[in-house]
Amino acid sequence: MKKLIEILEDVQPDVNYRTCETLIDDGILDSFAILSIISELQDEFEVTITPSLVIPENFNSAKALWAMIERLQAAKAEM
Amino acid sequence: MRSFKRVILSVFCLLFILAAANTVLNYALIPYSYVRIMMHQITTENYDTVLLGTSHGLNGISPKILEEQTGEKTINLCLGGEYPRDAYYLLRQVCKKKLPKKVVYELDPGYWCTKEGQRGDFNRIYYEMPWSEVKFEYFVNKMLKLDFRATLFPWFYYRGQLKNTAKIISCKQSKDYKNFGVQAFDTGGQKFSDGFLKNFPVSGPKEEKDLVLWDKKNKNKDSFQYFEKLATFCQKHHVKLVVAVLPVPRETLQKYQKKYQESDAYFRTYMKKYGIPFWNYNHPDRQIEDFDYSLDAFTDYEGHMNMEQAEDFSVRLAQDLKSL
Amino acid sequence: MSLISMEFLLFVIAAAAGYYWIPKKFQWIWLLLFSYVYYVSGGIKATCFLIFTTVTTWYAGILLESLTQNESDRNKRKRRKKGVLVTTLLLNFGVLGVLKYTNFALATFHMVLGTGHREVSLLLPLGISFYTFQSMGYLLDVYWERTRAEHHFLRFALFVSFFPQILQGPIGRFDRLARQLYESHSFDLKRVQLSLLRILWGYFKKMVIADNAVIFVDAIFQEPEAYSGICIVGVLAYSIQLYCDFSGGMDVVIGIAGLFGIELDENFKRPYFAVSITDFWHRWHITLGTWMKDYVFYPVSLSGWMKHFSKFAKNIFGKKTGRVLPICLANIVVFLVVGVWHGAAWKFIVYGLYNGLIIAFSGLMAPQYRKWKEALHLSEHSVGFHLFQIIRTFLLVNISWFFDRADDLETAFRMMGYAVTRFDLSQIFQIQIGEASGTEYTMLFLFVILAGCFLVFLVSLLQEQGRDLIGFYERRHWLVKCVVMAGLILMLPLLGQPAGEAGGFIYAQF
Repeated sequence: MKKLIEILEDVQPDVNYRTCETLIDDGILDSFAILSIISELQDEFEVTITPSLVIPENFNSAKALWAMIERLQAAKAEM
Repeated sequence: MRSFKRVILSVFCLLFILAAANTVLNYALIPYSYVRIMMHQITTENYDTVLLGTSHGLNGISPKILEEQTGEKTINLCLGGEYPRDAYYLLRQVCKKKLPKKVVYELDPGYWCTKEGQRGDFNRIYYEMPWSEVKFEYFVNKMLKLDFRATLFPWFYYRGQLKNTAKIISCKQSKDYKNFGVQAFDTGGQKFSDGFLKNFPVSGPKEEKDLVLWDKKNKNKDSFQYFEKLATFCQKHHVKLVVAVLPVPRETLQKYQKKYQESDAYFRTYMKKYGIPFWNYNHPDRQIEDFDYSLDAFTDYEGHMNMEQAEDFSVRLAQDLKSL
Repeated sequence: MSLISMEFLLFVIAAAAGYYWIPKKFQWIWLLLFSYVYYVSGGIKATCFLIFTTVTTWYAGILLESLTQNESDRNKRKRRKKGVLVTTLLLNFGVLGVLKYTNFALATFHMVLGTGHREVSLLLPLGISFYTFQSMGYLLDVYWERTRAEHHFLRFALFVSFFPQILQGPIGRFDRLARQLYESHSFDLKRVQLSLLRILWGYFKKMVIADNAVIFVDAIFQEPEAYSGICIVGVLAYSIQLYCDFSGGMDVVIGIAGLFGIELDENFKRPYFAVSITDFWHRWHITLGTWMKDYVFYPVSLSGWMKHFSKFAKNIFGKKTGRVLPICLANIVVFLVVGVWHGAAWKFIVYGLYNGLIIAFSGLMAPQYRKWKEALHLSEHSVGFHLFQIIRTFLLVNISWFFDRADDLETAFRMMGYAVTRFDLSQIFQIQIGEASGTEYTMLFLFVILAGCFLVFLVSLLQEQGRDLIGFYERRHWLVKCVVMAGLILMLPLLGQPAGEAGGFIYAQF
């Protein structure tokens, strides 16, 4: 989770990622930021994020993002 | 329940404002038109010969002369902007009073290859037509397809008359208007008398810009469809139908010879198919002797005739009608 | 059936009256019936294309869902699903492509060879790009398992053909739109009143502002040489015309859907208040923008080969730039598609590229801009800077309108040149307008356009500030509301131009 916050702050500074739950709904992250984050997450956590996962529910908060990463890692471990 | 009452009240109030505005603006903006006279005549009198068609016919055929020569009561219902669709419903309106013996359709090929406009005298046809099933049919087949403002606000196309309001109102209060008189149409360049629009000769260079030539590629299917309806209607009620193309200046014919020949060939074949006489007064077989085909006798290249020219032509048309 | 014809007015009244009169469970069938009557009135042949898209998408949706549920072998499932998806996409976009771009392809081909050619006459079904996009969005949603497939064929047919929106959008999303279409709705007086007001507002924007502006636009763009002193007026008038025509049309469409209790997605959010080109596209033709983002931009950005490109770029340009480069590339791809969507011509490709390049460039430069702003002590929140951003964006957008409206690329560039080198405002008064096609009323209609724009600006500004205009209107006395309504209605014939001269809605040709 700490690593995730670091990535987020690197891509788009000046946002309190621990509390904000409307990153998408309030337009804080634009498509450039979202893709930059995805790119970093894929490198850092070695998961594959498909277009079907790019929905507000997964990107609205750091918590939701983290949950998605955990889900993907678990699915990968299963295979 | 209270809110329901308020809604009824608001709707009523809204309609009232609109109706009031319409009444005032219709009265103040829509100028007196000879369509009103025509409509009055066909709803009160019986006619043997009916002329339908475009502005060429309105300027070029004197019903008075036809009447004198043939002894048959004649009315000229040609109008600028009158497409076969409008002609068809005008004829239907005439027939509500009495079936005529003959119908002359004055054909301008331009009306068969352009889209029906939103302007022109035809607007008045719908407006002046008395309520009946004909008007309803005309509404369904014409007005329904147009801009809703044309139907809901009859004054819509006459906004430009704002500066003439005083004149329009005083005209509408005059005795002449109440008696379906023609004084109002005496404008210096034109006057409406003997049942047609008389053009005074004009000097100087003549207009060419409004000339629309026959173009087979852009056929207006509706024009053909409604002409066929008109033809079928005449056939069914034993009304003789004749199609006439009025003389145009020699200068125009020479300049656009190919187009005029194409048009002649096309409509000749087309009318033959329906067994309808086709009189083209520009074609050698029907050219009029001792008739002035020079541009001097017309007001423009398109071929709107001067009044004397129109009377000369009417004599010839009357002879042809007699021999029909 | 034109949106401004008498028959359309009566058609909507009949549809709405019947909708609340029949038993509720038949309401969606009623909508389907009217949607098809509407479409068929535009031509039987065109309807065949609509049915083709409906059938193929409906069937593919079911197939995809059953593969998801029943195919246990993961690889096989993936492969077969992809097969169904690609086939359906190719079929539908294939039809769209052939109908829309054959002539462009032929012309380009013959231009390269230097040979003459003849245009092929092809039928272009009304709203084909709107309903194709809407259907393909649904298909991808099902493929990604974001939504369940619709099994009921007729229900699905309604989703594809819903009549207010089929002609010019907004492009609907299955998860938001479909449910509303199938639900029953009771008559809600307040909603109907507001919908009517919205329809009137739309007609006002279209007839009174856009249809007057178009006369100036056409005159100037048709004869750029004769009006070279007012090219700048031409493009400004075009920005007014385009916005009022398209957003006015949307107001009418959204208002009509509102009569049935259906809330369509908004397509415009005061675009000329945008602070950047990216922001502009978040406010202009929004449903096309989000469609492109979800179904083109993300899939392209997250595709395998983009991942490779990203790795490659990171190695060469460093982490930050390397990360952004693939996104820029995807952006350019998206805007190329947007450009081509606008029309089959080179100027539209340039129009798309221009937008894509600006966005890509500002994406690349974002960290740099941040540094500059810090160095200059510029606050992003100051009024002055905000205003600067709005004006800068408006200028950039107006440059793009030259590509959009001018006859061809060469003319676009020439007119841009005139816009900054030649000024002769008196030329405006040579433009003919009104009944007798004289210049007598030119001044009057210029004033009408300006006054109309001021009204739209005022409303937009208040909305932009988050004021509750609807609430304000609702609290007025009923008599005041009556007068407002009557005023708006009477303005349409009094100040608007006849449709014959102005033509239909621009976006209805897509």
